[in-house]
Amino acid sequence: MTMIKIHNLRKRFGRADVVNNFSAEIFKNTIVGFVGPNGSGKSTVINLLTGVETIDHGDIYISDILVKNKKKLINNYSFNISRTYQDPRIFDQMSVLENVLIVLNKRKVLSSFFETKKPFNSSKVEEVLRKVDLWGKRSALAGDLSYGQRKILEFARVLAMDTRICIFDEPFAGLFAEMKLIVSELILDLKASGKTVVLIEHDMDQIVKLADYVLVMNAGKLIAKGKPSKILSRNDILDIYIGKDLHEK
Amino acid sequence: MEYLIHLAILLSIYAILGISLNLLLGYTGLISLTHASFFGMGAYVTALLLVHTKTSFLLSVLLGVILVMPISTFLGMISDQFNKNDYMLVSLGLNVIIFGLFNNLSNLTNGALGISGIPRPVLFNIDFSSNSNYLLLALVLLLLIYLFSHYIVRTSFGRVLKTIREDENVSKSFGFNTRYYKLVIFVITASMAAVSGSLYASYFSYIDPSSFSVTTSMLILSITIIGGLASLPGTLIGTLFFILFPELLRFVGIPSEEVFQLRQLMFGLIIVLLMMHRPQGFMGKYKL
Repeated sequence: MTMIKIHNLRKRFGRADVVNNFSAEIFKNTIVGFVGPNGSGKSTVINLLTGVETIDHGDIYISDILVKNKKKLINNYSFNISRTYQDPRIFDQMSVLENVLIVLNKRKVLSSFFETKKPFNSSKVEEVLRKVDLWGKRSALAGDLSYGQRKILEFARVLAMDTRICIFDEPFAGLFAEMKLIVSELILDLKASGKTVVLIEHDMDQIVKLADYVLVMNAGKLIAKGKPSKILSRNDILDIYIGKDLHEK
Repeated sequence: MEYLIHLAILLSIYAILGISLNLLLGYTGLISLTHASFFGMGAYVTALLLVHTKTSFLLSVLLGVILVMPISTFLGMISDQFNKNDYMLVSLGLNVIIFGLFNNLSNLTNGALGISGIPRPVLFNIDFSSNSNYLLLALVLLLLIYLFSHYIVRTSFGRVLKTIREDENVSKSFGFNTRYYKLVIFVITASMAAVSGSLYASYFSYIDPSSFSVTTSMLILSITIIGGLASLPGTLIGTLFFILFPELLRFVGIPSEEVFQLRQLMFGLIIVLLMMHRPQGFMGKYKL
């Protein structure tokens, strides 16, 4: 079953076509590796998908619902999407606990006004923070965490949001081997619990290990899709990915 | 003793203003210079009602708030069209416009001549014409507003305000309609400023537009920043500093006519130093 359908997506910044007639389908309860060299347009596709950027042309369907994405910054939550960013966007001057608690808040102004302490939220936050090993840091300001911990905290928010679609933009970048292991296990857990996971990543070992299939982008276009082990061993893909000269060496 | 009571009343009036701006600036990250206008609106409503009608003080406070609510909703909606940096400039412009109205709507406000003879209230058979009694009234209102603000910042609503301050776009992506949150807190804080204005008018028994100019907005901003952003006790400390500092200048023998100018100079200097070395203020939790 198709979870996300992207049709003829186009985005231009100045004179550059950063995304050029990009079409793809992402299936329910799969882990999709989204790969390509730097500047190939992967993050822009995700930004278009999550409303951080406006679409110039094309359509995005999430669970067969057309996303009206002409305005900037759609409410991802209403489309059951949660995501992390290449550079973690956590709330630096709030505590680690609050950073996770916020995604469990009531959304409406009036109901949030009368929501103070809620046992369910507290236990959920504790469960999530223990899972990512940040419970001991719950009272610390998020801004005081190390880079890796900030990434993990963003990850914890995604876990707490419990959305059907989880998008991770380079989740392994800058992480120690031990943390990488935790993150890859968490990603597998998400799939096991029925989520659809989109993974933008340069670490090909992780992609091969985790992804059910990959989408390869170059110069704003989708150039290949299929099983990771097959696609990522193709010479033309390696030429593009690491450069022809380097590959031939 | 009478002098200390006077200072405590001033402390209560300005602390309410400081707390209201701290909810907006310290917790939501919005720098507003319109608060002196709402302070003025509350003051004028109370002054006009107490001078020309037999309205009770509490009803005049309530009517001040009722007047300020739709006006602040409208102004909040205008301000929301701008990004955070322009927000401050827009709020400055709005204050200048409203200050102009206070000056020029002479039929209503008596223009630059102001309104005098504003009586002190009598409530529940207690006469508040003595300063000691008036202090009680001021402290009760301050306490109510402090507790209400304390409640706000501990709710989920307060938590969303902080995310708007930190990264509004991420907050939006979580499904929060940040526009409504900003508008609601703007109206709440404007109403608090109006309550403070009512207290001010009745205490001094005279008001004119000069008390509600941009300079007053800057002073409220100074109180909030000096005391500490996102800290309610910090605002009380900031107000104490703001009230006591000019008095200390008087004690060291500086003529009272020069105290005002010197106070402005010193506050400016203190803010610059704080921004350089302690941007969160004395007790603050948030750096601008």
